[in-house]
Amino acid sequence: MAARHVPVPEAPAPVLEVRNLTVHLRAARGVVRAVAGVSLRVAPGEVVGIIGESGCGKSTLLSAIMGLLPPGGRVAAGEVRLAGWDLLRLPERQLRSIRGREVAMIFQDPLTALNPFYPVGWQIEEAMRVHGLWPRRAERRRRVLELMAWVGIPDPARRYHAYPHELSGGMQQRVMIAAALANHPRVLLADEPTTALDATVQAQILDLLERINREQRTAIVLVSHDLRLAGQFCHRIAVMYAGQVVEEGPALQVIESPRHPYTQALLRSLPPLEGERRAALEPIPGSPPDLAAPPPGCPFHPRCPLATDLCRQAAPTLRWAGAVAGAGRTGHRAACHHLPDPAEEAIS
Amino acid sequence: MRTAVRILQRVLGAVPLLLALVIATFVFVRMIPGDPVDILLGQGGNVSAAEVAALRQSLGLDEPIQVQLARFLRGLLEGDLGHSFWQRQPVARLLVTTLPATVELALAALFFALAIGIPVGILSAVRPGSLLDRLAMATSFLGISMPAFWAGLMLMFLFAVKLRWLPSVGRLDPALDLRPVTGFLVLDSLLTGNWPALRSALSHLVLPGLTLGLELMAIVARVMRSSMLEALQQDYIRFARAKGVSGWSAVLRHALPNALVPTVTVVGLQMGVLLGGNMVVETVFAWPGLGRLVVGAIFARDYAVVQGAVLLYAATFVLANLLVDILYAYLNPKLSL
Repeated sequence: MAARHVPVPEAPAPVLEVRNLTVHLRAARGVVRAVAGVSLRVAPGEVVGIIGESGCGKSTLLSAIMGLLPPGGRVAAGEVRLAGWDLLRLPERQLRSIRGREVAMIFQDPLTALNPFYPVGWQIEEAMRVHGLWPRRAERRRRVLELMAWVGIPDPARRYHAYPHELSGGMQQRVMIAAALANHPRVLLADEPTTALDATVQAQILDLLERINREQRTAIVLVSHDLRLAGQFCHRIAVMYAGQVVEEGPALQVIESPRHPYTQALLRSLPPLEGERRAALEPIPGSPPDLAAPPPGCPFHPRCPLATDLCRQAAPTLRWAGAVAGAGRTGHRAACHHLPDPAEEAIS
Repeated sequence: MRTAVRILQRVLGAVPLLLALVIATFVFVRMIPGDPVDILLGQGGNVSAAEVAALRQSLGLDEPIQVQLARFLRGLLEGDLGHSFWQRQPVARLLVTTLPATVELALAALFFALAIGIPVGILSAVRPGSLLDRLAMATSFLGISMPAFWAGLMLMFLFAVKLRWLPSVGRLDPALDLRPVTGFLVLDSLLTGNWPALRSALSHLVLPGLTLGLELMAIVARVMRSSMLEALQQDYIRFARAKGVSGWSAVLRHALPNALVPTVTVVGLQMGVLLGGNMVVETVFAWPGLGRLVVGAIFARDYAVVQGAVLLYAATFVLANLLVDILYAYLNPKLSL
């Protein structure tokens, strides 16, 4: 029985919704379209991975959601909605009361993201102080120590007074996570949170993020270049290339049956897993396009083995892919002219 | 406790340096052409050779230089800096009476440099390329390149002569009577509750303080701007903003303490200039300080005063640097003394 006309059950209202977002950055070579029409829905308690090579716009996307684009950055079009607020149209004062309270963010390198001048406990407490949810100092202090213990920092009373450089990378990352969680945000944006850490610590931090998601029901947007890591950790994955989402869907489907040639190439470029029948890692030929002058048509066509004249002329849009056609959060979609017709596939 | 020991070590470690400096000064000042005895007796010519020899002997200048040096060093151990044959007073007393004026002036200059330089640097960095930024940087360039005697005369001409807002020379209105306590007139007038004297002392400090502080002000503004620009690009600023910290709070609480480190370094290096490089400013504003004393002593070949003053300059410089290092350790938790 073909499932293609079965209506998908109504998805829960997203806690974070990005609609058709386009971000321009002013660079030396002119205006760069770092994010080009990205749409993203994150349901409450959901973990969404955003995957791509460096420079594909994934970090800029997070900065735009936070309303913290670097100087010269500008949202050219689109909408960001967080639990009903239209973030891009809020005045700075109100936006400030949402940052760190409803939506929080952690960064790649905890040592540079923590201020070297202040003890780490102070930096966690600051996140509570600025939002005034706990106006009494003693109570804030108690909550900071609880939070430090909860994220796995041993002996919090002593570590409260430590400076960032006195802690290990993993402890620094826990401090940053504690500061981000200080006000129980609905959404946590994590920008390559494990890239700067060694492998064993990486696993611990991922465990911690998973616990945050499970126990606090915090939705997490994980930005990473590591497709396999995201496949294990996320419910859904969006693959970005040249500022656009080229494929998205349930994590397992994207990893196990990638539809976009870029996602397929990304997977082949990873070292083979044990027992996997594949010679070695295959790098993707060529380099990502210059976003100041993106190629016409599909942005991936200069590096794509399937490229045809159609790809060089017309940009593909996201279409349903995979055997089960659907809508909303259960759907698997890709932006490629060479997707097999879902109808045909479903019948065959 | 450990800090106190370290500080003591630093102070004691400076002793060999000071000793070497004293000996070098002792030798070099005697190499300046011109004989102090001739200068003391005048160029009149109606002085007999016997009188010259007698004076030379009474000043101890007839002995070999190593004997003179040994006597001077022995005196130093007893806290005796020698005797000024030009001012006919113990050198120590001369230094003690002039040093407060010089330190007071240097502190005023430091105050102006920091109170104007730091905010200007911050505002320039927060809005780089703005009208304020370009104006500030152009003005600071002027501040660095303008010679102090000229700047001093211009300020004096404008504010003392034309506008008559501020006094031009001296430390205090001569009509006022102030009982000396420490020699720092601002402090003395506060201690004795002498408000007219306080007013007068402060107003006398403005023009020479500005003149002396002008260069440092310009340097501070520029260093502050560049280190602030760098600090504002750091991840910790983005993270603070992501926590919900306001823009100005991120600038003042997060960027400023980190950006102050290079500024403190520069100020520490320039403290020596403020204390020891003020001969011109003290001369222009008839400021009765150490700088003017040294200028006079050099012309009179008053060896003892020059030696004592150099020793004092060096000691204050060492002390100022120690203060900077202590401040440094506070600003940068990664360092310790």
